[in-house]
Amino acid sequence: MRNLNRRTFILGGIAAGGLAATGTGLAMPRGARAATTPLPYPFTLGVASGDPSPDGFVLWTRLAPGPLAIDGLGGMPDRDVEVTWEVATDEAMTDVVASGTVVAVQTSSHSVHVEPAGLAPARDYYYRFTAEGSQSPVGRTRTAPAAGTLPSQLVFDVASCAHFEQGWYHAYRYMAADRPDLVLFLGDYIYEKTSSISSDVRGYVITSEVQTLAQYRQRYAQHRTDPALQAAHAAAPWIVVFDDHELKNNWAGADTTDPSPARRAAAFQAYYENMPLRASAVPAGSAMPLYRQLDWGTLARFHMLDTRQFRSPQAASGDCATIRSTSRTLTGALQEQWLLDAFTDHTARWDFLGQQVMFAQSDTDGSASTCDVNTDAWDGYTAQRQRITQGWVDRGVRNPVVLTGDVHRHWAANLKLDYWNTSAAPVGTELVATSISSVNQQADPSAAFLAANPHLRYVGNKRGYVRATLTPAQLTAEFVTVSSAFQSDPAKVTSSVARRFAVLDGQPGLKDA
Amino acid sequence: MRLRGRSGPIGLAAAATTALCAVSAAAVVLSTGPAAADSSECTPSGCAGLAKFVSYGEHLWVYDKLADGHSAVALYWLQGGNGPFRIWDSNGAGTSVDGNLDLPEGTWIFYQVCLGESGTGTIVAGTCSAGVTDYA
Repeated sequence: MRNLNRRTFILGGIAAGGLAATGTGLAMPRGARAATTPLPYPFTLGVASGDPSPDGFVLWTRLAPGPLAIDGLGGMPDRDVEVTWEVATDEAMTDVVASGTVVAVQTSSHSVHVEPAGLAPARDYYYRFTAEGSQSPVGRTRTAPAAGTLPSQLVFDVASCAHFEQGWYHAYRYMAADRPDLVLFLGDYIYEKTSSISSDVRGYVITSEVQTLAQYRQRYAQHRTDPALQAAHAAAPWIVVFDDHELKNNWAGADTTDPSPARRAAAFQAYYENMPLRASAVPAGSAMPLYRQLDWGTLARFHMLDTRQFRSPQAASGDCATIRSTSRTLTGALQEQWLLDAFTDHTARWDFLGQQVMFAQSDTDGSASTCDVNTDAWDGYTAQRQRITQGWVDRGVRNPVVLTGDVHRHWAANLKLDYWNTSAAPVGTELVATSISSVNQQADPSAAFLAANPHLRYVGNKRGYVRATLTPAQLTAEFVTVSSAFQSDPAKVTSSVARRFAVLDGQPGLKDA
Repeated sequence: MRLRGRSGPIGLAAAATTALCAVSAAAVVLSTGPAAADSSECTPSGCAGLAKFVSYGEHLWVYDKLADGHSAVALYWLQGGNGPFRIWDSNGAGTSVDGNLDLPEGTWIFYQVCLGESGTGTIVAGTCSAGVTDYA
């Protein structure tokens, strides 16, 4: 067994004071020795992993013997708790290749983030945690291929929008069954909203809109009590970004007063505490460094974008002058340049933009003069969309694919430099994953709408996710749907592939498959 | 206070436990946790409603303690992501109802007690207790 402890980075939580190496002598956990009350089973929120690199990943858990406690602290006593973690090459955890101990602290709601390093590339690993006599479920994760290598295949699922009250998480259950190499979650992991609609299948404990750190923590915990969600996390490493509902509906970062900095800080801290994110994403007050790139050898590069923290406020629908303004931005200037610089490198065969809101034009009446569009999406920031699209074209990006969530519908789109030129060839492809459980109460797109937007090749209004199988030669996208998110009994729910498309290497755009 | 006789199993509880089977990876408790202790919650401002969980046999009792025109109701959530389920005491002040649950040993229950109208299923705003976690 290799002992990797000296190369292992740990972070018990935000208040733990940055990185520390195991094996160098941890201070005695606060209150641990004096404690006499045994801890009830604390792994009620499951385990998770994320952001794989060729030699490691981040492992996550959060101790919460009483996960729904209204103070957001998971029923934990106000004391530090030592948590042991192990990484093995087998699911039975007999061949442990890395291990260590971290201290979970209340200021981080007893969340644990561990970043093992020095592991072998391109292989499965298994992990678990132990705390005060209780052992967590075993999770499966995977390292990325070595830099410079071209793997023969990558299977990943794309998901978003998982309102806890509005449906059962059957889609997560099928994602777990896929045992993909990766899961991309593109936002709206929780919903901050007030309990609402009559078709809800279950209910939040806090029925008002959550706004404080305690409330956000409690809401994450309630989402994470779901066994299907826990199974999906335990099945594969996730790469996550937030959208709006992790903080507030349709918020725009450039509006610095609403939501308030204090509310942003609370939401970001709770997000970090509950996600398998590396220490590089630890928020600094009301700012969170979230956008980043991850490579899967030379097969794929994932550009995970943040379209919330730096965006200009939404324009009014129909306000063409504002919508077309070249000074408005969805990503901020720094992130845009960061993305364009990466397009210049384009070291991977396939470049995926993992992001939140619909990229392709989606114009209601098909008239360029009315600007009747969803201004929360890229349609509300057309000049920047044009710069980015032109950017990947000018830089010779071989296979640009945009991956999207947000809209609670499956969409497949051909991306264009000029959407009004219906005969123009596609310059990219967009795959929009429907919601895991969040309902879509809007009317289905009309035939006239689809005729006005012929680059939109497919729309589906069922719950599910996108399953992608990538090889050097082809991306195959399967739009998976579940038969019902209102039926509680898993035995009465099925999944199916509603539509399948292929994108061929060097040929942007969708092909029936 | 006189407790009413046991009622039948709460139907929704059976549905809730079904979801537990969806967990693919088994969790392991290496040592016995704390002995489950009984707990109780009052509605704010005078304890017009009270709920009490008895771990042995998993009973969630609901008491209507004041003639205030409202029923007492316990809202509870279970391990497995389900809830809230409700147990109403709509029999008037001085009565109680025994919610005889069937929960897997060692699993958690989180409950609140509120005031409401059982006929419409309405909860009176601002009457719910903060809630407490207990264990089967």
